[in-house]
Amino acid sequence: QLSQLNQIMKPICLLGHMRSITQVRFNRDGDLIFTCAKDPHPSIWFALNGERLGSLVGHNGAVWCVDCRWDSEKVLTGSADNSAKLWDTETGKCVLSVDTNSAVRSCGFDFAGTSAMLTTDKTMGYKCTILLYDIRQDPAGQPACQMLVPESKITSAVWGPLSRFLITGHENGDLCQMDVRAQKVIRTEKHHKGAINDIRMYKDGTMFVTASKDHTARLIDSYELQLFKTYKTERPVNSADISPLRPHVLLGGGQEAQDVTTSGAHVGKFDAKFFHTVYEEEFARVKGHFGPINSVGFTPDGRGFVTGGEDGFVRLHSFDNDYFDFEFE
Amino acid sequence: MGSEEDIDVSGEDFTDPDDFVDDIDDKELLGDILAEKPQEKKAINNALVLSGLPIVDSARIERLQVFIRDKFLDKHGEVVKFSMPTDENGNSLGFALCCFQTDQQALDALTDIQGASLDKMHTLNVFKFSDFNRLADADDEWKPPEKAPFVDRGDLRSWLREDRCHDQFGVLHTAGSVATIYWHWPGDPQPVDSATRNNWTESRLHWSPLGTYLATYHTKGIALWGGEKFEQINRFQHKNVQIIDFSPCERYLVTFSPSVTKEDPHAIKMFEVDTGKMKRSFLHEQAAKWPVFKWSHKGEFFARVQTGKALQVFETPSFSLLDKKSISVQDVQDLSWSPTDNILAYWIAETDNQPARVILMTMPEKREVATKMLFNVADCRMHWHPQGNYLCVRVNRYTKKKLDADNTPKYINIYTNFEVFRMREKNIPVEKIEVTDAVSCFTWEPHGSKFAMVQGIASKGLSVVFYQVNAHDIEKVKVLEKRNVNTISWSPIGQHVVLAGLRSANGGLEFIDTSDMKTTANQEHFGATDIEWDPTGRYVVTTVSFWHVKVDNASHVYSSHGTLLYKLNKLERICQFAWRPRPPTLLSDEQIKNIKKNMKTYSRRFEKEDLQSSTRASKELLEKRARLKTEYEKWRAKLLEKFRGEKQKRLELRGVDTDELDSNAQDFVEETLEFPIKVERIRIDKLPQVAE
Repeated sequence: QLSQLNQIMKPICLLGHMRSITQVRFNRDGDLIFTCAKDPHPSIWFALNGERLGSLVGHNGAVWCVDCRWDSEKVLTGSADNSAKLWDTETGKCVLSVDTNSAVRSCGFDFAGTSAMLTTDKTMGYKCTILLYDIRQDPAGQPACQMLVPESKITSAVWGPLSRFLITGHENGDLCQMDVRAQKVIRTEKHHKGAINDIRMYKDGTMFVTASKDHTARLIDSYELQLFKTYKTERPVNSADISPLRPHVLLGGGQEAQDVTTSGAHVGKFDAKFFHTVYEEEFARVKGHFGPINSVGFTPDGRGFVTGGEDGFVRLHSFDNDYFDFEFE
Repeated sequence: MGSEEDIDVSGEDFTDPDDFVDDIDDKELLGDILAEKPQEKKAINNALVLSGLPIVDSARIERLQVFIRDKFLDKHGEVVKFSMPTDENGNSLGFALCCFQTDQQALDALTDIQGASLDKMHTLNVFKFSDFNRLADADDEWKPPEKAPFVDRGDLRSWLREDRCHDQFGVLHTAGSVATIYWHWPGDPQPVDSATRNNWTESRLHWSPLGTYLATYHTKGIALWGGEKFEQINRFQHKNVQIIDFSPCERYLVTFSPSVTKEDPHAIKMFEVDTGKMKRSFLHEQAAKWPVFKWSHKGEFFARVQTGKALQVFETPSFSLLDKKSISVQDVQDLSWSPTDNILAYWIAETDNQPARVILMTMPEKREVATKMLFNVADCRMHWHPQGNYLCVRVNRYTKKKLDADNTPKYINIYTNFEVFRMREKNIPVEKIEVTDAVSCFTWEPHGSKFAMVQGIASKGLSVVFYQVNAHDIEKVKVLEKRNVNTISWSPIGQHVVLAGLRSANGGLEFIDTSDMKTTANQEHFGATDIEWDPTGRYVVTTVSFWHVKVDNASHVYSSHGTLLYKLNKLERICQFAWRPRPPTLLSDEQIKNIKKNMKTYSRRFEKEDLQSSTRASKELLEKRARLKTEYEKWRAKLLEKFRGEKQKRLELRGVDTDELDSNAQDFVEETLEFPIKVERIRIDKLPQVAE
């Protein structure tokens, strides 16, 4: 009952990173792809043909996260070198750099594109922190506000609707709404049993999908953090995204190399999985990665998707007609 | 209460007063006796007028009278009155009047002799005397007959147009009190809308030969149902009808009921299906197998044997004897029509000075096209090939014949011959096969040229033997030994066959592909009482009927290769499983050949559809999904409301509308990007000299 979609689609393979991919992102218009990996140089590519626009040079360590502003003018990156940098998309020049006490795990522009949020890891004396910067200031230097996260560290974070609060996913599976300016946790829900590896907003910001180590991805509303759908797999889910065009959810996961020996004889299976948003049923798999998939994303027009894997490859797929005609009964 | 002492009435006078008139009428007092009073009848219903007679003079009038009575009238009953009026000179006037003893005799005579020819110039025109009055009283003004209201029966063939060409079947269950018609969607049969009815039939379900109608039995008669919703098409009155038969064309319905009365002594009635009118009825005198009347393939003729005497061949739509007379055949025993041609086969028993014979005759020409003499014949049975290509006559022959004390023949050492008539060859040659063992279950392969039978006796072990009719001989192609088989069931399209041990045998089912005589599967449906192929030859269904066995009533559905597909066991106490027949294909042989040639392209398309339909969700899943969808849409609607409510804020934050990808299309700038498709490097060794 599952179709092998990749038999028909021929993906464009973006070979630009020597190390595992950590995140892949599109800009709002969908013509640029941003990739970052465990090497220090994130890349920007043309989505049309996979040609590289350029790399962002400046970091000294693995780059954990990348985000592009809504107008595609600026790029934000967060790195294990304890810094986050703001770049000019067209030229690739670093226009701002801030230092943090520990590795930057998540970053993101707010809705207006005037603030940037960063979350840092909990290491050696430093607690997990959320930092907000006003990037209109030049130089920004000091964070406009910050908030400590005492218990389980944040493993993924995104801005909520209208950027009134942040939605954070934690290592223990907690999901929180954080009003950083008011220094308040608005609400906490525990829907997952394991660390939340990724959170991706739906195009209108009203709901989001979480990808968790507990082998599930879940569809949750942004306003009340109410759980609505659960997508079950057999292995940890590293990343998930919601199609802007069809009622489909894309999941990517697999076992990390370092976990393989401890969890038994299974070889990691490296498919991107498609689920029906409403029926929670898996209907397709796309193979291709030689290692676990770390980040996935639909193109903003929903006509394709991109996956980045542990193998360092980024694969850009275009759906063929069967995908758009495919209907559940 | 009065005392129990005797009352002394000796002085009382109990006589009526003189003027007393009693007011009780005879009917009250003598009611039952009066009912037996012979009714005076105007004896016109038993009178016939015969006209069209020759006009003869007084000298020959007596001879004419005797001739007419002899030839036409006496055989129908006692003629109580006969009169041939003459003119003043004693010449006949060309007509005669006769009265029979009973109305029925007159009716029979009328049907029989109407239109009979006396000689080249004179044909009898007979009518009832009662008609005479009616015609005389008729209005001089002709009134056009009233138009009967049009009853739209709908599309009686709607089931054939189902998307995936699935068949229907009917199941009589819950001990016969409920009948349901299903769509056969493999693995998940679904009842047809409004086709589950309580007490739909009082005994069994009967499909018409082409599948158009469903017939149900009732005390009052038969009802026919059809169309998309199985509405009642027509009703046919026949009290306590026990068994029915359709003509192959479905135009006529024959019913039999053992309940005969003095007023209605006819046990067999024939109806026209479309109009519901009874066309003819018959007495049923001799014991016979049903159907008593056998139909020709197009329903143009029906015939029965008057054992030992004659063949009666009737034609439709007149329902009278072909050529107005029976075909007199001395010692005729049985007849059988070809399933595809107007050829009647009948056999004549052996007499002291004549051997037995099988004769094939065309209708209506009554031309003999084949005859076969048979010697030492105890009994014959005729088996037509379903496509009419062959006729096999099974002849029980004996080596010695003895006469019992009461002159009934007793046959010693019976063996069997099979005489195969090759119907499609010139002069219809006949070939013989001899079998010494006891034989049963003779069956032809439909659309093929094989036949099979069970040979042997149960105690020594039965075998199933297959023969192939080749161009020049009949070859025994396979003997399957030690098979406990009592039914051989061929697929209606040929090639596949199931050997079954039904009822008292163990329900063993052996599926065989006769193209290579290999057994494709061995199954068992313990206690199975019936087996039926679907009309397309894709499925076989075995049933344990409640009518025979009270437990484990279920139907099992197998593929043509013998794979058990599913069991129909959710219905209680299944009595009958009946596939709905299909009309024959409209494709020509040429078209069928083409389809077989291009099978690959067709099968690809159907495999794709099958794959989709195997993933097609069951009804419950579909309902669940519909629910989930509505819930989701409600949830989304609430979220979208919030989203829309925030639109103003969004505009403020970004300065432009970015809700959709093209919300700010007016700000789009067209940009042309050039990507080199091919880059070529040409090496220039020397720069050209530039002239000074």
